[in-house]
Amino acid sequence: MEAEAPDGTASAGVLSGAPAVRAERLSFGPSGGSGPVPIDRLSFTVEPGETLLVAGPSGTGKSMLLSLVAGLGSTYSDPQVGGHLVVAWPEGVDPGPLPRPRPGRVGFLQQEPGDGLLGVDLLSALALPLELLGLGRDETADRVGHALETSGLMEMAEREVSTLSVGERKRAALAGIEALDPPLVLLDEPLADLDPPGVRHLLDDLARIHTARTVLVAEHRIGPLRALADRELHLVPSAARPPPRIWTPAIARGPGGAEPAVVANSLSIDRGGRRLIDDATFRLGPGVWGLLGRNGAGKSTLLSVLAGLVAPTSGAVTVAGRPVWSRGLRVSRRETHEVGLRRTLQVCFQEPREAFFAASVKEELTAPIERLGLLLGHRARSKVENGLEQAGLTHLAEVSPQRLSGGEARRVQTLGALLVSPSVLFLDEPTHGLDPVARDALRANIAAFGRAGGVVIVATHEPAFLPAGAEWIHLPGDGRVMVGDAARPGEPGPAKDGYVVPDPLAPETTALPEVRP
Amino acid sequence: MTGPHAAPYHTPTVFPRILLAAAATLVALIGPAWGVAVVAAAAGIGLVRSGAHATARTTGWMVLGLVAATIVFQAAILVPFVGLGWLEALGVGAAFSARLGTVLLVTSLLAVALPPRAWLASLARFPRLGLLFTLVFRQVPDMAAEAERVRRAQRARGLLIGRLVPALATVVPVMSRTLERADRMGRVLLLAGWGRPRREPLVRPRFHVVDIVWMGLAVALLAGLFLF
Repeated sequence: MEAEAPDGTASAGVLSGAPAVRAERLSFGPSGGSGPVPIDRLSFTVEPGETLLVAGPSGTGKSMLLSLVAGLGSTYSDPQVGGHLVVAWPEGVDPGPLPRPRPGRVGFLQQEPGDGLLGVDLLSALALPLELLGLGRDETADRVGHALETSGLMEMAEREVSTLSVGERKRAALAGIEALDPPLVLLDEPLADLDPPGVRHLLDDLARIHTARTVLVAEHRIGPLRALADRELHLVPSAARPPPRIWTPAIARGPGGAEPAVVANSLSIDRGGRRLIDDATFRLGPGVWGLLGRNGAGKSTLLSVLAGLVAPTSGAVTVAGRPVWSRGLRVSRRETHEVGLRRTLQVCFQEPREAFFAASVKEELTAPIERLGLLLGHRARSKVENGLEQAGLTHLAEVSPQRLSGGEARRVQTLGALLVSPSVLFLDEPTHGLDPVARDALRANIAAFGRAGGVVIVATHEPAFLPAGAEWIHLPGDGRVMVGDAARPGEPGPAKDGYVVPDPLAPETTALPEVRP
Repeated sequence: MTGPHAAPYHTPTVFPRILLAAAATLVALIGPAWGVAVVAAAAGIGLVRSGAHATARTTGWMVLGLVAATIVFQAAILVPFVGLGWLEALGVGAAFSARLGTVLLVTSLLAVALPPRAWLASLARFPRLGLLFTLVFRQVPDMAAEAERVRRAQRARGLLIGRLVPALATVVPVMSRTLERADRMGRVLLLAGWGRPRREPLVRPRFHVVDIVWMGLAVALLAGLFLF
């Protein structure tokens, strides 16, 4: 088929390889699913060379839709399929309701971009797909070299992929797509976890890639991507779910009635031969604290040290009156000390599923309550059931935690931490994978926790997510820990790292409209 | 500017260095004392000057530990059971551990001198095997980092309190996520059309002038070993 340039800027010749994508009453769900299928009678059209932005709450099948377009429908065992999904390649349309994989024709940035980089060093990783296509060595070298140069990654060509940061992996995977030069590009949450300069780099890369190609982007932070999109598709859940309600925490006082606070004294932290934190002294009292800093500045490591999980090089840490580190050494190895600390302080790390081990969400949430001796047996279980209902997650009670979608896993993780009734809560990038409704609920919960007298530290790249009245911590990356007014977004230090006011990359926070044609 | 002849598209070829390492190992095991000393010194200097400080340090500690353990072990056997004097036993132990320590130094230097990409580039002439080893080399560091994060996250939740259950609790997410990752890598390979029998690897081993030196040295070591 001969494609037509939608806006007259790209020539039909360049576009001739770009396919149209059409879904007609497409339904798709994994085998044996008794509940509503994730993709339910979906219809949409993307013309050749257009960019479609796919938004919608967690669990509405955005990732699944991209996989189906990529031709990976066959990797789901025995699914229920209805309707048609057509990728109209110039060379023809695949028979059957779903497209098949077309090597070299589809570039797919998956949620874990590192898994798409199949090579020990970056250069071999980018070359492998081209080699598998049977391209000659000169052509492979030309394309990979060109892609690395345009994306400014040439100097890390020989780096090992395992040493690359999240942001670097994302940009590397995009460079791989540029080298492959496919007419159809699929991007699954490309902006997640990136710091503001990283987001800007990635938007530049995207602006280059989306020209003359058909592109589908699934993303929660649709604000920054709207300028690139020709169409938007807002998926809605097939079954109405109860909205989450706000948690009202009861914050316990520390030993001796001390008000909860996180105190660090002359704290120094080294990691990978680099000094991340150098002789920092600070006190974080009750309230909400936003922790800002670029990828690799040491936010997660600092939280791990403050939580007593990773040893500092030197210095002391006290959490809610409980000494955790003293002169760089663990204060106590006794189990009672550990139990006391974990009851007081809960941490939600970046990837919730890494901490999940149980067969069902209900068991997963009951285990820490029992292990920490808060409640036992049916009392623990009924506390969990109440919590699930309050958080609007009852429908997930019997689901395996490893099978949750990113956003669902995040909500279960946060609920698990709140059920322990801590007085100090650390959240590491809690907005990753959350849809606007869940974000608003989480923000309200964080604010309520702070108001009730608890300490919440939220490591984030989205300052606009934090409730009004939040205080700030900034890691400029030179070993200092800035606390208070100097760390506020818009002040010179944070602004240098891209944290400005108002945040130009702030996502949509209002609930999205229904499907738009 | 770029092109298939630019520097990053080549890795050192592995065989000359493997040959040299094998010859040095042989000298370390059966050669004369001064030969062992020369090999140990050369390997030690090479390791320190390679810039891989972490590896050099680890190897140093391993050699020290090995020497100490071997001497103690030998003395514990030789003195009561063979009836050697303390000094003699220490001498035998020292000689034995010096040889083993030298082998360790040589092996470490080889590992530092040939990064994974060099081994993989040499393996790429066997397409399936090369791809398999690429996936293995790619997964291992990520898996190790993940296991560490899993333990940390579970401890933070209060799950690692008590004895038996914690080990099991950690295995489940590591296994489940490794399977997921394998699944995603499989999808990537499926999209890339991995079934192609022949491919032309971009990164290739290249024979360098210095490789002639390594091979010459290896031959000299072997000749010396068997002639004298």
